[in-house]
Amino acid sequence: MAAALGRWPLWLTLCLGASLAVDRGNFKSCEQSGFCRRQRRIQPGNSPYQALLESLQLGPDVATIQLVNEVTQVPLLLELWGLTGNVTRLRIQELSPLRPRYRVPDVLLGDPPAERLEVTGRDEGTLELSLGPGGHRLLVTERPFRLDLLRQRELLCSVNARGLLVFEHQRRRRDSDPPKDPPGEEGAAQEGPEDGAGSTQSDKPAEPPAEPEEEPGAWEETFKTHTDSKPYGPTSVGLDFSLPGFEHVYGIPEHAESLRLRPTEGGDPYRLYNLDVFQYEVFTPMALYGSVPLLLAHRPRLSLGIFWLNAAETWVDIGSNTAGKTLFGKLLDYMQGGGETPQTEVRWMSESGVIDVFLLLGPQPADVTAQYGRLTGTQALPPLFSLGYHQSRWNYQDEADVEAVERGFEEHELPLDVLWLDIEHADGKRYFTWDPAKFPNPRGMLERLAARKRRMVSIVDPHIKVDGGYRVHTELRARDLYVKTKDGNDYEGWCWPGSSAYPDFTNPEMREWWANMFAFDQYEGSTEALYTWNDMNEPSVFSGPEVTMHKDARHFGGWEHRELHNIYGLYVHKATAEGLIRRSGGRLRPFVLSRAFFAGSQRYGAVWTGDNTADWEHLRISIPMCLSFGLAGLAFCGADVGGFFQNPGPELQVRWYQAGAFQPFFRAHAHLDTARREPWLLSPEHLALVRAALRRRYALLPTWYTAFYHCHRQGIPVMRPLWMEFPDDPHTFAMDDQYLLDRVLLVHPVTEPGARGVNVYLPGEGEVWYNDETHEQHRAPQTLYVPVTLSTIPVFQRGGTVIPRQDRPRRSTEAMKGDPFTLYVALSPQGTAQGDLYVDDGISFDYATKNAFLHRHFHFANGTLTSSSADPRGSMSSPAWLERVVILGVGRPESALLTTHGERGLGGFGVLGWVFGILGWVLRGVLGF
Amino acid sequence: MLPPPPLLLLLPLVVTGTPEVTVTRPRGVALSQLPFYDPSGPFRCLDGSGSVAFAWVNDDYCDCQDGSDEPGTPACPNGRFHCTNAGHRPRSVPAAHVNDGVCDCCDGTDEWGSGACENTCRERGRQEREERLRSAARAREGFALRQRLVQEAAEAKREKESRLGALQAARRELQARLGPLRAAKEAAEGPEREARERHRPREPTQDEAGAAEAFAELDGDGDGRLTLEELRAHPELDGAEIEAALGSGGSVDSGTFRERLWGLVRERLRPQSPPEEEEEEEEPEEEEEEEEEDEEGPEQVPPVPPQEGEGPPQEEPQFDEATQALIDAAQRARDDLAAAERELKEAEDGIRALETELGMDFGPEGEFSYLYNQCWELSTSEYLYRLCPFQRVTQRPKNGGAETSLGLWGSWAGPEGDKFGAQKYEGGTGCWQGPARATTVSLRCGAGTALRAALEPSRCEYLLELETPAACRELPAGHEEHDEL
Repeated sequence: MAAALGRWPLWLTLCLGASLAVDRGNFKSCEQSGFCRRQRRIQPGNSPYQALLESLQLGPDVATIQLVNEVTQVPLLLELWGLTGNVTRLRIQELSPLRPRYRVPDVLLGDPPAERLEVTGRDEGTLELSLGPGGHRLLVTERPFRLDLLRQRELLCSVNARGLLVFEHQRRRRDSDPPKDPPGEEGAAQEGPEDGAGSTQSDKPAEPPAEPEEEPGAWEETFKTHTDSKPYGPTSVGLDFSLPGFEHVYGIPEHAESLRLRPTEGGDPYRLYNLDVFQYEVFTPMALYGSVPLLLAHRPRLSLGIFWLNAAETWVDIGSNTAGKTLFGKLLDYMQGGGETPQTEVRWMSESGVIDVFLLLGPQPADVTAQYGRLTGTQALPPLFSLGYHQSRWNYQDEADVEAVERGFEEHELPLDVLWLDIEHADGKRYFTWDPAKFPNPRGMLERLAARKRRMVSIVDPHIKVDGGYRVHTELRARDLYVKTKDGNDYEGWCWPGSSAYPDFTNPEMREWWANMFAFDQYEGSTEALYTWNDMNEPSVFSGPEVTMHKDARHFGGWEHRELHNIYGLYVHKATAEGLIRRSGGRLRPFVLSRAFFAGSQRYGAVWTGDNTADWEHLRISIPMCLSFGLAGLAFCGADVGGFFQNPGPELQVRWYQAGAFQPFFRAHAHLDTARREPWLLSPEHLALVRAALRRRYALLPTWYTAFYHCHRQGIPVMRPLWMEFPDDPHTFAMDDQYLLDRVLLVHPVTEPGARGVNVYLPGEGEVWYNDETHEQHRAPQTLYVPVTLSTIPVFQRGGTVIPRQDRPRRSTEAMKGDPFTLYVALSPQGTAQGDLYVDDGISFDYATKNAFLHRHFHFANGTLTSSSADPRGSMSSPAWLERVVILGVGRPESALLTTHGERGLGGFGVLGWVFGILGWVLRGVLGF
Repeated sequence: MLPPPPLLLLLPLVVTGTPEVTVTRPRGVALSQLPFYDPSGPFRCLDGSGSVAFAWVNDDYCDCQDGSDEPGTPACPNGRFHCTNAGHRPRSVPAAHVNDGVCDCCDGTDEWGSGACENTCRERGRQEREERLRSAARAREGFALRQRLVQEAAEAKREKESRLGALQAARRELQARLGPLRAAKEAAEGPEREARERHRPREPTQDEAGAAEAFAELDGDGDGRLTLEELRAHPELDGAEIEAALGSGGSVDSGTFRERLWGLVRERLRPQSPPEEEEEEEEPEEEEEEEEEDEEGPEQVPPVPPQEGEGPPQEEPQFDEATQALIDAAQRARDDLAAAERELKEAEDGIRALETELGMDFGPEGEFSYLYNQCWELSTSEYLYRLCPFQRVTQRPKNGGAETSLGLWGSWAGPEGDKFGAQKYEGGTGCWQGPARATTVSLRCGAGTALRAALEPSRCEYLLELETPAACRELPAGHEEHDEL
């Protein structure tokens, strides 16, 4: 929806003028962020830290070793785990902290199971630990402290090899008045400040360390007109990771950036700090609405991940020893044998918290995403309708407008699943209410939509209008559930409704209260057909520093906002999703779209790339952005189709529909000040192209849903970079203008104006690909020039795969329920293919709680298509059947036999006849499967 | 090639239009298409693209490119399903809507598989007939009004045209008179001037006495000369004009004062001079007219000199009879010219206004002309909208704030074939980062004239709905009784 400064106070928007560009001055550079400046000034070199190897304690799961800073003599505690499934965890904190530090709760699914650690070697200055059965070993070097992680004799990753471990130990203020300790109330978060101190096995606190030179900004920092009181002074942490052999790193969304991250030398590091950035630009390392501190690295035969579990403001520097070298230069190095091995350096810097790192050791790309999924959870299985098309605008004005827009979809035979209402629907931006003049009968409106198998999403933002007549406000104030200022008053800032307060979603009681607000008798006018959109949950505070909350604001348990800023939005998302589940008695899956996110947000629903712009650059960047989201677990990603700000021309609008139809979350949305752009406002020719794109989306919904099921079960992204499926083909490593949908379709949307053709890279030695529309076969690998017209969406099905489709163009996903499937069997050069289909009721949790699902596996070989169960746990009666099998890669076969192995609970089957029809030679038939 | 028989459904359907008539035809086929669905032979796709066994019609599998083999199932992406809707109106819906759980046909036949729908055609038909009757009554009433409007418009147009003709004739006549009147004025003013020059009043007039009195009052130091400093002691006399009149010498004696300054300072020293008051009261009607004219156009009408026979102006000195006669004659000539010029201007203004109005397109029969020079308002929860047809649209926030222009008259903007169905107003107040506001006014038939709706479908694009009898069309006879099947 709406960037903070949209149409809001003149004194803020003046500087933006009419030009369309982010105002960088509103947001900090590394130099303006005290801890980033301090840390970045430290150059690689000898680390002042040494590991006291003799302090090693080997528990059943964890090994602990003390580290000590030779300059300050402050001791730290290093903990090491070898986790099941090729994950190594290391955590560093102060041995005797003045106050407990924030350890991010509610992200990990639980305590990840650990393998038994063993000391397998020891010599002077080095200790070798084995990390379980994966063959991984960890070398701990005493002085200077470093860690080297090996698999057999291969070095995977080194830690603190460049000596950039930073741990600003907590100190007392040197002036007379030390700050009060955090309040430390009862019932604090699981690792609240009051229960952390002394909980580690510590010796007596060390001698008072020597104080380093104080620099300005250490105990108080001012940005623009905002002062951060920093009562606890500098507490930042940082660590470097060296990745030998790696030249390609990815992840750490959200940035409007290419898929492959670029070296940051000479510029700012990538910043992770959830911010409402008005009219963001592409190709910058600036922070955006969400943060996932997960970085992936890939080279042939090996993928790794680094998950830095910290919710404070974080900056990530990427260094590369091959950056800037031409291919020829690298070749020369190689031939002369004098070249260094390519290596990527990654340096994390966070303002506060502890160092808590998970090294995900792959080795395959899908292993890394699965490892991350086991730690933080996988994408929630979306209700099927949410994979359909969403029509949004700021704002559909009233019930008549909603009715008219939906009628437009009917009249023009365009499928539609969800209509959206932005902030103007509520009574004075009091969320959970309806404007009585514009939406006098929301229930009636929802029932009309539901009668046509459609749904609605209304926005519920986490800023609450300060208004004594608004129940949400009066209750939250009475229950004392708002975020506090440093002085203990309710924190208030300016947002859409004017003066607003911010519920403290880090408080479980707050989340509980919020979830209950979604009950049908609490959220008046809501029905089962109403779902939710959480916007502005960075949180956006128009009047705050960098358009967000003051870092010295106070949360539940006494924690400062600075400790947990990046996870605030996740908690909003979580509480809302919980509310939608609860209102159905735990029966139905929620759908919640969130703009802010953190590691783990994938468990609660969908995310999108925020307030983009109607230009070709933003269309192009939507692909790498969603690919990065997917690598970081957030599979249900989309970008506002058409672009949020400004008006797209018809060509851009059509191209955006075509691209959006092949991205996971498919929603058109537009700013209040843009012209209306419902598809029928285009010319009939352009409208027909939009209709065609929508129908292609709907026909492929079984494939989408099956892909989401794979993601939900295995943590593998729905929208995948090519290198995930072709990990040994370096051509694919930096590609982000094309991608794979699951493993079956290669999509290369047209994103250039006036395009006459696109170059599509078809990967896979000895493989073939089939044009999805013409069924023409192409050998791989090759770069194929595909001529395009405005109607073309270059999509290719991989030889050797089977995809399910439902080709009947219904008005919504729910109207497709029970429609028959068509299998598209694309043969490999060997004449075989396989694929699968996942089906359930599309809406409830019965698939999980009652195994009410069907997961079929299809295999084609020797003229026989075999359907078998891919998961014997699942069973469900479905009215759906198989109406057609289209086989790509053969002429008219002699015969084909379809078998189902005579399994229980399946419909009959028969020998199918070949017919020459609309799709060429196909198997025509009707059978259960 | 004739593949094996279909495994699904063969669906001859009994459709009951009225209980008496039974027609057997494949599901979803319109009566007019029935001849193409002959069960005695193979079915030819309606586009001629192919041919299949008749048993494959409506077997829930799409064989024809044009979808014609599956009119009654959702198998073909481009198929059409025909529903009879007995009691209401037949419809053709996308075959993809068959059995999707949504009632598209009031007879429910599109949901033959899901059974989701009841037959509501009779009720719907009744409602629609009633509504049609009501709307036909409205339309008739509106159309009658419209006919009156057309008549009135024609009369008004004739009347205006004849008024225009009369004004044009008057203009010609006035233009012809202006030359002689100007000459007469010139001729009369020469002798007047000379006579005034010659004339010396024998004794100080009342005015001269006033001047002497004022001089004495202003001459602060009593030295018989009035200086700039002395003048400046009287702030009411402040002004470059007066200072200039003082001349380069910087001071004047009483005679020079009377000649050069007295005319300038008199009113300021004695603001309630009685002759002025009298003059203002003299012709109130004419004054008002002038003010109105001033609002209309920028032209300024010269001040009207007092008319003959209403007594000489008080400030005029006493002249001898001969001089006075010459002055009176000149004054008459001036008055005559001014009156003619005024009449001419009035005539021209009238001509311009009439030409503008007569040049407007008020619809094929002038039926919209009555909207001209009137305004209508509509109050919504937030705004007061005001439409002055053929002029402008404005919006004023109810909670205070300035009026915003939503556009000035642009053109008729109805769709093709219905040009007079909508009006466009353009070039209103500009928008933030956007274009100038513009409004479309859609016109709809009604017995009265009123603004019915005001919307802003897109930022700064407004949509008003004006109900007017002028938009009513004649209904064909028996329209409301017409009902298919």
